[in-house]
Amino acid sequence: MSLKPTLSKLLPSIIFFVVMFMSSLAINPSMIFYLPSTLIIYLPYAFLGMGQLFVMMTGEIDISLGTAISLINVSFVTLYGRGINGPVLIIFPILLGLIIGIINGILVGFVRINSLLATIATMSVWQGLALYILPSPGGSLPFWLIKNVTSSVFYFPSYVIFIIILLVIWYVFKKHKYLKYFYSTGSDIKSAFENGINVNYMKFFAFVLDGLMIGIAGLIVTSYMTSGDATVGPEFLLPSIVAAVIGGASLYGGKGDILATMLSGLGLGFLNNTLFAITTLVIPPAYSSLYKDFIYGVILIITLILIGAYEAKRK
Amino acid sequence: MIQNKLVNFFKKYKNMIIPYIITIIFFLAGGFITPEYLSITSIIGLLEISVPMGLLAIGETLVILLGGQNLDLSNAAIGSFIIIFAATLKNYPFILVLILVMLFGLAIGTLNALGIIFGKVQPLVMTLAMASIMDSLSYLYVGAHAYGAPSNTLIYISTSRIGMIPIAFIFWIVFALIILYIAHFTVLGRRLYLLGNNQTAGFIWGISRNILTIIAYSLSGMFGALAGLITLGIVVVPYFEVMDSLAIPVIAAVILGGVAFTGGEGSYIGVIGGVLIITALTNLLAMFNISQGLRIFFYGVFLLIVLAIYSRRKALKV
Repeated sequence: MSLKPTLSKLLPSIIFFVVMFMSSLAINPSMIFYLPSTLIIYLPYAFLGMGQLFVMMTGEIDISLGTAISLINVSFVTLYGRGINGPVLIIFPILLGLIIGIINGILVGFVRINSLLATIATMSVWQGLALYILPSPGGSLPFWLIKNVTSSVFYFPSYVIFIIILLVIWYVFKKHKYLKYFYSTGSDIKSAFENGINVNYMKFFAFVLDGLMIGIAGLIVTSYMTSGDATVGPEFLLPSIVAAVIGGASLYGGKGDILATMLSGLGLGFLNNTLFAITTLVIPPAYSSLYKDFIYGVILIITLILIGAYEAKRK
Repeated sequence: MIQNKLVNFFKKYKNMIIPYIITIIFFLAGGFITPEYLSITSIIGLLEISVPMGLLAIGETLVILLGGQNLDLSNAAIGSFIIIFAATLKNYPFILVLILVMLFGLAIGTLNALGIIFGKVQPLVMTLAMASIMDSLSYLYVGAHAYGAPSNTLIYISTSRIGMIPIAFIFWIVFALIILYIAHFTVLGRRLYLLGNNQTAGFIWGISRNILTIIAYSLSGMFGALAGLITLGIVVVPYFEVMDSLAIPVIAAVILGGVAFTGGEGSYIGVIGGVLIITALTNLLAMFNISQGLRIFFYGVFLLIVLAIYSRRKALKV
């Protein structure tokens, strides 16, 4: 398998991204003017898709990703509520994400539990902790933090910083030997092991990277929500998996492209917001979110079927 | 001699015995806290509340036996929709509702299978998306507020008892026996196990993997719908997404019951034990006077401990 992101590998995600971008533009042309200021709310999908991708490359999956966002969200807000302020506050969600990733990684990599089962269990652990920390929605974040994360750092737009972070991750990993190790661990764990790759460590490390991505996404999500809610996370699980799958990943492991996943993650963000715009325009607000989920699910299945057909043809 | 035989018996049926041992440990732990926990009524009550999850686990077992990452996360959501749907049909004859509900489950399960086979969508994603479609379908069907109620027949079937034994439990056992018979004593069942064991084969004895996949997923949908129907009889007042929280515990129950995620290994006998573990654990945690958050937290921690003890993959050795 070639490791280069050839055009045929990127094609589904490019098409998906363009279609989603164009359709949101067609429905609401004025969005192009405030795109820079709203771009930040699409970025978590790209980060979470990447996190899921790293894990899926090694043939595992992270089901706990959604509730991990909830846990980061509520503990972040509660920490500020307890009077802690300053730069440590920005580090905190990323640190917590790393801890979450390390715990998942130890369970899957070294304790050797099937990742689906292990993260099913940790999903309950994060959700339970989140509800324990903040039983009902509330709390707030300091203004300086919201401003720095969602709009600009010293007149420098913050979404650019996050996009640079994404590109740096892509650049670091596209040639890095760990990417090859991830691929080979995922596609054939036995021969990877026999070739001297520490497969358990690779699985562990993939989850740590996943945790880092979850931490960054948690920071962004909490900053644009500006408050805490223990049930905010689970809706991110399906998009994260779908972004990785459009990016070429498979549950069997050993596949997937970083850049393609980022693009499709952003595309999913556009899709989410377009649907929100349509449904609130056409349908009374009380029902709009219900219709949104329905159309969202149908579009995702159709997209995945088209991608399945494309992959089958490419082979 | 007898000891050796016992050890061999245990080794052979380890996966089917251990779940029951863990359940008994949880029971004794519960009895240690409050002695009434070990009374016959409380044990029967536990069996009764296990029924919806037990029904879901039948379909889930069939799907996971297929191997190759097959799993069904949508069966619980199908049940949630059925709760909303069947409540609006109170005045129709029960048999009609039952047939309609089973057909609906079969249809949605078949859609899952078709998406997986011909759309080449990965099972996890397909069924997760289907679950979210089912949830919004129930809102689309009744609007923002659920209404209606189960018919008297349904309430009778779900909650009444013959002597001490709940009728719903009898239904579960009947279905379990049917599925165990099909899985272990018919050609169809043997084909399922053979295909699960041999992931590269497209055909075994003239039956294609696709047909078996459709059968497994459609039955999973059907049992999801039946579980929804029984749950409606128990909760009586319909509300949204009642069963969604079962989707993931059911998979845990199946795996704890000794069914291998790689397919073709394990039996529903063990899975019944897995279902009992999960309900006994939930019950045990409900006995402590702690907040819901901590309850969910400890649930996850216990699950991790059980998984770490006996669901580890083999270490690779040079």
